[in-house]
Amino acid sequence: MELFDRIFIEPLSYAFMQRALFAALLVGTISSVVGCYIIVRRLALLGDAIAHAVLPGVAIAWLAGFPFFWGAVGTGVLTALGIGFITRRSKVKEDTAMGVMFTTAFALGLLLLSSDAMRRKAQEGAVHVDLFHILFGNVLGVSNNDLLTIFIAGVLVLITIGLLYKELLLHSFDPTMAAAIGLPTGLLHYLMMLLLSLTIVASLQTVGVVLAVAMLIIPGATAFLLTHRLPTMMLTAALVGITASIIGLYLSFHANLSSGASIVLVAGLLFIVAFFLAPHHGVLARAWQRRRHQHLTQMQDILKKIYELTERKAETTAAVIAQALSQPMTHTRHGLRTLVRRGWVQLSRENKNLEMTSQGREEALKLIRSHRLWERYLADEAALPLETVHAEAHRLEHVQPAEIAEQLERQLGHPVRDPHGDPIPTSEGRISVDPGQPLEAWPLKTPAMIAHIEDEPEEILSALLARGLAPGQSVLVLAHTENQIHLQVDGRVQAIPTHWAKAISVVAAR
Amino acid sequence: MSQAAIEIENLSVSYGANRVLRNVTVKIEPGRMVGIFGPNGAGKSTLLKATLGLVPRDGGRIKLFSQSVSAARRRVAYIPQRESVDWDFPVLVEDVVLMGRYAHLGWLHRPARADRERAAQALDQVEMTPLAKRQIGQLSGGQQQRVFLARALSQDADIYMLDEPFIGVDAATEQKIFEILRALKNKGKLVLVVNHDLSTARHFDSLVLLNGQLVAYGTVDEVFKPDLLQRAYRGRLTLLQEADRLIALR
Repeated sequence: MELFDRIFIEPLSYAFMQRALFAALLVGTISSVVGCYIIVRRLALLGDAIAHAVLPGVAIAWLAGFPFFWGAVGTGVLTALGIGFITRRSKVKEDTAMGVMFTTAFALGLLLLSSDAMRRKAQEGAVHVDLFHILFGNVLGVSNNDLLTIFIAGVLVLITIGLLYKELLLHSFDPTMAAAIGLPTGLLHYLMMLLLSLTIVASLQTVGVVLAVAMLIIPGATAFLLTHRLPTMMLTAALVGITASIIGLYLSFHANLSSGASIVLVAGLLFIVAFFLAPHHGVLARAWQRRRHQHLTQMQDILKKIYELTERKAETTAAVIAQALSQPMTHTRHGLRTLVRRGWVQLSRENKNLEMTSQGREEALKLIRSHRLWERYLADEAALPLETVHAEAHRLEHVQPAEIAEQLERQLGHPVRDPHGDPIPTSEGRISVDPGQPLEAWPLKTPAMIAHIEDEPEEILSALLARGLAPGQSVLVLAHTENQIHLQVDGRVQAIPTHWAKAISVVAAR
Repeated sequence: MSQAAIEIENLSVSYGANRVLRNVTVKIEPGRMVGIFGPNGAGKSTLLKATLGLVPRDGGRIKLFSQSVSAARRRVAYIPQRESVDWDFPVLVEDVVLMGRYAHLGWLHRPARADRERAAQALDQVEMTPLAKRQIGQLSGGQQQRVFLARALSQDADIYMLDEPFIGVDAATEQKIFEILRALKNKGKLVLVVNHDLSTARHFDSLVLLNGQLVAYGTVDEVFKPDLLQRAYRGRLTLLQEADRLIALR
């Protein structure tokens, strides 16, 4: 508590620090809110241009002896108009026009500030010219007068934005419709330029000409990463702007650093944090989602493999599963742990086999159903070659929600088999189709129909398909030789290696 | 004869030294669905924009329901081309639809409950209610187009102008859009659709064929003819006569 007092409360015993805090809060709020419009309308560069262009206005006001505020707003708006004029009346593009206008205006400002007339004014004590403070801000030197100016400018800007929220929103989002329903888009654009100039002039004291654009853009950009609606974006931006202003101000007080630079740097850090940590869109969130998806895919593959091995009455130890999926044991164990935690798989009491619970079986069937429906869809509707549908369906079954499987099934007219001839489980998880027998074990000269061809390994599948052996094809087993099976297919005799025939299951031909 | 919804007389428009539309004269009655067709650069979108006074014209007169454009413009709902919209804009689906009501709200007036209800109803009509709270960029192309149609519907206009509404849109949405547009037409509204895909021509009652000048305006049967199409597309079409149907390939 004592530390808190020393860091945050004690400095406020200085009047200049009170004024500085108030000014920083005001500027942090206004700049951030106006900045949101600047960002969504992609006018960031224009903000920077206007900030530089206020310099000659300040100089002229000092020379002529009127409040610098009006001089600054004047040259700011004039520059914005000039940029628009050049862009409309020549083939010079807007970014180039900005570059020409603001550097010229800035140079004029520097020239006037370094002139003899200015020097005489300074000697008379009429003005206090400190170029460093104009360029980089000096929030610790804000006077009561400055504070009043900032306050009035801020209230004006915020009220205008509040009253014209609807018009400015439409004009920013869809300028064509805004014009179509008769909004004065030109007027709204110039109003925006005026608000922008007012905001920049208000922020001169805290961050200065060079960094003014930072307070416009950085809080808004941070909020843009975090929100989906303009009003929430403005609120979030204001919070970021205020936080950066407070932390930056105290930093500059305690460490005796440039106030403008401190505030901007804190805002920049907040942006970087949001960039990495933003939910949904942040870099970390995306990496996390990718990892989760990978893990999910692995886990689902393991579950399917256990189902498959169980159906074949094979062993289902972790080692067998890992080998069948040709993946490292560590991955398999990791996936199995999640499956056990979810109560889908349990370790058998008698041996090292992993058994599916009834819930696990249900989940496995859902996956198989989704996979086979996708295969059917890709083969029939998307007309993909049969040997490629497995890989594509494998990808889709993991990313598409279960409702899509239902829709697919309806769309496809409730198919019972996938294109490889495998039965598609119903949504209740029932399999009602005869799975067939291995071709190897089929009696000689008995008409058979291919019910199913294993989709892996892919080379064997494509080799069989190339010979016209596809699900639904009628075949007759003629003879077995040492390592070949002789078949009659469409009246022609073919011999295929016995190990290929392992991939084929047949049923009695109808 | 009913009062014309749009009357265009001798309209000419240029972009710089480039003349896009030359002396277009056309008079369109309400209660129909009109397709505006022509090759790239024929001035299709420009015709819509000029009709709303969004681009300066070199000459010509335009009347909407016998009134000046500025007096009647709120009775026109306009759906821009997809590519002209910034889909990252922080705005929710329901906010976009509500914008249709802005046409009837004066300065400083906030949308009232009745406006929100009308917007919700329009969103329901295009079957996008479940997505009301999504940011507009999270939707698919077809869904985005439906949302913009809902915005136009909520405006309760008398003329609906759509600029290339079927680009990047799925078949189901295309059907839905045509269904809603036909319902509007049956209520006596005028629907104008700029389109480059001639295969949709049969969905319309009337066609406007443009190639800088007006090539033809009339019913589909009057306009969808080889000589007129070739004149509009400057001979770059392949036309197939199949039974009683004419098919145009580009």
